Amino acid sequence: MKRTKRSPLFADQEPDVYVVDTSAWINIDGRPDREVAWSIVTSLIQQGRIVACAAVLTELRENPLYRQRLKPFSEALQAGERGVEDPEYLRHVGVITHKFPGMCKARGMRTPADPYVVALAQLEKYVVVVDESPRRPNRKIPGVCDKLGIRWISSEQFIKLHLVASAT
Amino acid sequence: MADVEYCLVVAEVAVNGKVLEWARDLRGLSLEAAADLLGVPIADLKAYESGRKRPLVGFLRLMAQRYRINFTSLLMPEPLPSERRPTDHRTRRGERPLTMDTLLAIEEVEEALEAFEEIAAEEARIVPSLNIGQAKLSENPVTVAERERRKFSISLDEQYGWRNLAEARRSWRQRIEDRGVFTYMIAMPPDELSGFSLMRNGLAAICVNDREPTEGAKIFTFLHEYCHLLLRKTGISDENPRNRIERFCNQFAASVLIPAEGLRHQIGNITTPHEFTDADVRRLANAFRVSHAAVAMRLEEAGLAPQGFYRRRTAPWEMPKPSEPKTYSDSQPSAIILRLKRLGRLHAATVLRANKRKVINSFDASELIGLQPASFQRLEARIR
Repeated sequence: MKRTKRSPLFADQEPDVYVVDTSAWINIDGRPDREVAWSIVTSLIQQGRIVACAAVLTELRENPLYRQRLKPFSEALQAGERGVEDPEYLRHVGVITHKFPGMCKARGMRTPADPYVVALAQLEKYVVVVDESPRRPNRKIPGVCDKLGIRWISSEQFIKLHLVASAT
Repeated sequence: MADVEYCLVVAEVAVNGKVLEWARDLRGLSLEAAADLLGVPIADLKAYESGRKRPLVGFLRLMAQRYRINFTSLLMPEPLPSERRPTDHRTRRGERPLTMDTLLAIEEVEEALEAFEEIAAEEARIVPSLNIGQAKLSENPVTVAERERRKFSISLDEQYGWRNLAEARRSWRQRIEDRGVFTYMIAMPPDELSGFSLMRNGLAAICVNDREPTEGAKIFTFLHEYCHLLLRKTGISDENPRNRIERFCNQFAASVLIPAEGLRHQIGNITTPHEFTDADVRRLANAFRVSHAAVAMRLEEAGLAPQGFYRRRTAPWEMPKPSEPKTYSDSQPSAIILRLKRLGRLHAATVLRANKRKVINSFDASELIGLQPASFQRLEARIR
């Protein structure tokens, strides 16, 4: 199920693939126009343009939106993720945790999905969809993405962008 | 066979053994204790930590689970620099190292304060500001106690009117939270510490050991830790009077709980050291809704009981008690009540407010409260 690598020759012309963080999934589901938003999201999932890490899906497992919206697509959503035991991926997740211990809660008891999201986006050149504050640069995904040169957008911008794209 | 070998090869992960050692140290585990926890021979754990042997991913996940540490931290290329732990004021049982349960409780409260700091950075008004005074060790703890008791606005009549120690504990805790201090009650080993206090960037927290023997002891610890905050000398306590700071905080706590005016009213015309009986101590403890130890300490410190009275009273209570088998009633408290007891109302209310104002999402709120978002409404109703 691993996504085929993009040819570097046409890399610029390829559409973006998005890795969506937990915060963004929750906000997409909380929008007043959630049905419109989900139709856009569903279409992008089917095109293989949205990825969710296993760690994100685990975080959402107890949330009703997982059962109602994401579970039917869980295989498609994870198709673009590297295997959870992929040594290169895990090594990279470790590097991100070490560089940004505040974001990753490195001394904490639980394992947040954040380093998985960032590591995947960096390795696969995905765009991160995240609804966290860009302030506190070492503690939140947007600030970390900025530091690492990873592109990110909020769920609001993401839905707007694809609403316009679907209208044209 | 080839498939099996392949699986084992890909499931192995290159980790830095020093990181595994760092994680073990962080949780206060000896090699023996960690090996026991993981169910492996000590030699194997040593081999992982020295880098002679590579663990399988599954084993690393087990290690993260048993050490109760973030799995991705075990994948780091290097250990993190060690962080300074809260000052250890304990002297009661020597230099006894802190166990994993206590270190995890400290971690939990530190994480909460960190989260509130982040929330305050987004919208300062959501997090209540700390509104406590300050005290110095050179002051008289009884005077400090009188001053602070006035701020708590608890009259003697109100105190005498509390139905039991549990109500007294809830009332004192509420008054402390009203000053902007987050309070926690977390079970830690009973013979290790009574509680701890933390302060960082204008935020303060008190954590009381929920395995303290009585409600009265917990009330005392709330006030004892509050005094640590006033002194700006936070840390881990065992309320041992041999330590100067601990003694000051003890005197403060006893004097807040049993004010001079109330004491005079209860004991009548005794003004010189008097050998109070067990029944006297019990009656006073019952009137003020405090522990027997608090009464004994207050009487001695006020010069109303002979020197050594407190020590004689408390010595039997310091003996380790045999653990009693747990009894379970049919009606267990709800998850909401249990979480509120652990986290305090201020913590829960602040998280719910931050979620309502969309400073944090429901997932983060649920992580901070330890309840599913579906329970938030009931939690809010309970707080009101």
